[in-house]
Order: sequence, then C-alpha cells, then structure tokens
Amino acid sequence: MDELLIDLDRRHPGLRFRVVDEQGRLRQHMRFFVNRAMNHGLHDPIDPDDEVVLMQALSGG
Amino acid sequence: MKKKERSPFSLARKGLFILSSSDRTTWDVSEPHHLGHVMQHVVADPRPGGVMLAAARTGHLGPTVLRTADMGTSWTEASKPPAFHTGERLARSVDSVFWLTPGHKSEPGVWYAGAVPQGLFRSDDHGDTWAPVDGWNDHPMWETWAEYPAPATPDGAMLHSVNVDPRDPNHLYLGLSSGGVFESTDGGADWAPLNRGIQADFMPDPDTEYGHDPHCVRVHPADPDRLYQQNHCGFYRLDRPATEWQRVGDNLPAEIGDIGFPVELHPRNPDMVWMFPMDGTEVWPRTSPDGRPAVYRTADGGESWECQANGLPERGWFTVKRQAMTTDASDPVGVYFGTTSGEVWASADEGSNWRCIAQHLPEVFSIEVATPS
Repeated sequence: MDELLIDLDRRHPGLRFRVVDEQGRLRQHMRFFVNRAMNHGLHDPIDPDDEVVLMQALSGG
Repeated sequence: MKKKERSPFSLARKGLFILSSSDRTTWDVSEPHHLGHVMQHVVADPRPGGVMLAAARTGHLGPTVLRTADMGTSWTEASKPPAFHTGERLARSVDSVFWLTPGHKSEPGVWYAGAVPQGLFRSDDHGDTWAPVDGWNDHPMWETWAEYPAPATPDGAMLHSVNVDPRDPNHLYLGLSSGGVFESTDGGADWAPLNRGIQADFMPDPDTEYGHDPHCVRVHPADPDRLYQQNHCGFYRLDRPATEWQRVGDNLPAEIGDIGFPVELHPRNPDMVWMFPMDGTEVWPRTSPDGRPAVYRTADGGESWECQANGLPERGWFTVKRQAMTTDASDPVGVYFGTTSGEVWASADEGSNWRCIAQHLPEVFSIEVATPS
C-alpha cells in the first residue's frame, strides 16, 4: 500500500506527506478501503487487481 | 507619487483574506484564498526578493507551508514541509505549523517555523525545503521543557514567538506554550531558559526555571535589548543583559488587569507598545474585561498605560489571539487587530481612533502587514 502512495507522490509531489506523517503513520482522518473493506494498513499487501479507495473525513466545523 | 498600497493579511480559520488600501481609509477585502484551509500564520519577507509564506493545513490533510512571490496571485506548496526526523526516538510528527519568522537580513532565504508540538524548523531556501533544528528538537531537556507528551493547551502545545536578534543571526529567542521563553546564542545549537521574574501561579513552585506560559514575546527591532512578553500571568518587560523580567503590567488599572494574548510594537519607538487586555479571572473567559473592548498603549515602556477605545463597541465579547494584532511602518503608525468573531479593526493614528474595516469573516487567527515593493 505504501508503495502505491510513494508512486502517487512521484506523480503528485507532496501528496504522501499530507496523508501519512513523517513517522509513517496514516493521518487521523484518512482510511484505506481495499475492495470496499476498511482498515487496511499502510504496510498491508495489495494485489494488482485490487480496488483501493482513500477516504478522507473532511473534519472541521 | 502614488503611495504604496498597504495590505494587512487576515488569517482565519477558513482561509486567507487580503485587506488592501492606499490611504488607510478605504479598504478592499479580497475573496478568500485557500478557502476552507486553516491558515494559522502568513508572513511577508521584509528582505529584498523575499517571498510570502503561509502555514496551512486542513482538518484531514497534514500540515504544510505555502509560498507566493506575487502577493497571493499564485501559490506553490513547500516541496519538503516542516517535519521531524523519520524514525526518531520520540516518534514525533508535526500536527500543524503555528509560527513563521523570516531569518536575519544577512541570511536571505532563511526562515524559522514553530510547530505543534513544540518543534523548531529552519529553511535556507525561502521556505521550499525545511529541516529540523536539532539543537532545539533534540536538546536533552526538550521533553522536560516541552512537558512532552503531557496534555497540552487547547490548540496543542505550540512553539511561537521565534525572534532573531537583528544584530546577530545566531542570537535567537522562542516561546513555548507552555514551557517558557528560551534563548540561544549559537544559532540554535544550545538553549537556556529565560524566565526569571515571570510568575507561574499555576505551578507548584512559582519561581520555577521553566514551565511558564508565554503567550507572545517580541524583541524590539530598533532596540534588540528590549523585550516584551504577554504571559498567561501578566505583561512583562526585559532589558538585556538583565535576565529578570519586570511585570510592568502591574501598572495597568487593577480592574482591567494585564492578561492578554498579543504584544504589538511601535516599529521605531521601543517604549511604545500595544496590548489587548482580556478577562483572566475566575474561569478565564478570555473576552475583554467586563465585555468592554479596549486596547491599552504605553509610551514609556510599560510604566503607565492609556486606554484606547474610541470607536470600539461599547460592549463586545470577542478575543484577540496572539498573532491577531499588528502595526504598519507609517507615520503615524497604523495598528490593526482581528477578532475571534471575524472582524478586523484598524487605527491610522496609533490607536487613538478605531474603525471596523472588515466583518463577517471567519475567526481571525492572525493578521500581518505587507507593503508591496
């Protein structure tokens, strides 16, 4: 999963740091869904045909 | 000759607004920049060729620094925002960038950033890439001084008030809320507390060496030996090389008190300072005492204070945060403050008369002045 983010960051510089902090922790209001299942970790494997969705809780108020 | 346009920037919980005027009478309020982003601090570099930096984040996206070289027409994001070292012992991560300070004039491109939690970061390339200041972040006393990871002040435990001595780029001051004021004389390699004389009535030992709660600390540019501090426990002055702060806020009327957030300096007169008293009694409402908004100004280094409320509402229940008051460099000096209720107030005569120049903005976090070159 992190490789996917690193690749995204290559294409969109700065993206990864807004999603993952400098210690490799997914930020508080971010969630990965893989094939519609939640709680996928940053270091979990994914398959080439998996559907990955990064959901963001647009917190504020 | 056309006067240069003055632009106070109002930084709000939901974006950046640029207020511009050529005569300090008629003001235009821009459309929001970065609407929806928490814009904590925007500072224009006073050095030639400098850029303007903005500390930004949203509720869900991590913290970053935005840069503009054209007064906000176009922005780029820092390619390496402030961050602690990956894999460091304390596993700290920057929650938000809270404070921005341009470096010494002899070091163009240098900036400092203070963070939540209380990290200090430095850029040598006009804010594009940032590195931790290891002498501070990894100081053997940092965990103690920063009270890490104890529960913090409401907006997080922040590092603020980074001041660079205009005579010496290696002489730095900073403030921790909470933790106190700290000084470095070697460019940030080592640090020492500078809190003697500051009260800490919330601590078991009121004469503690650190653990204080400075709200805002300012070094006067025209007399860098003159420091002012608005603290959780009063308003203070320090004349270096002395190391003991004097509570000149005791000279304010007792019914007003000397609690507040911001300190604002006259750009040329080290004895003239503005503060905005707030109610620090009982449960600390942090609104103006008795709900009567007033600025207080001293012209003698805090020995006496004058109430400046002409034009301000008779009753009002807002707060002025630590970054939400500023001055311009004109003569007479313009003074500005923004409120938690989304108003910006301005005086073109050093505080004698006030006018509301913007309203219905989001809560104002900070306000700064830039004069386009």
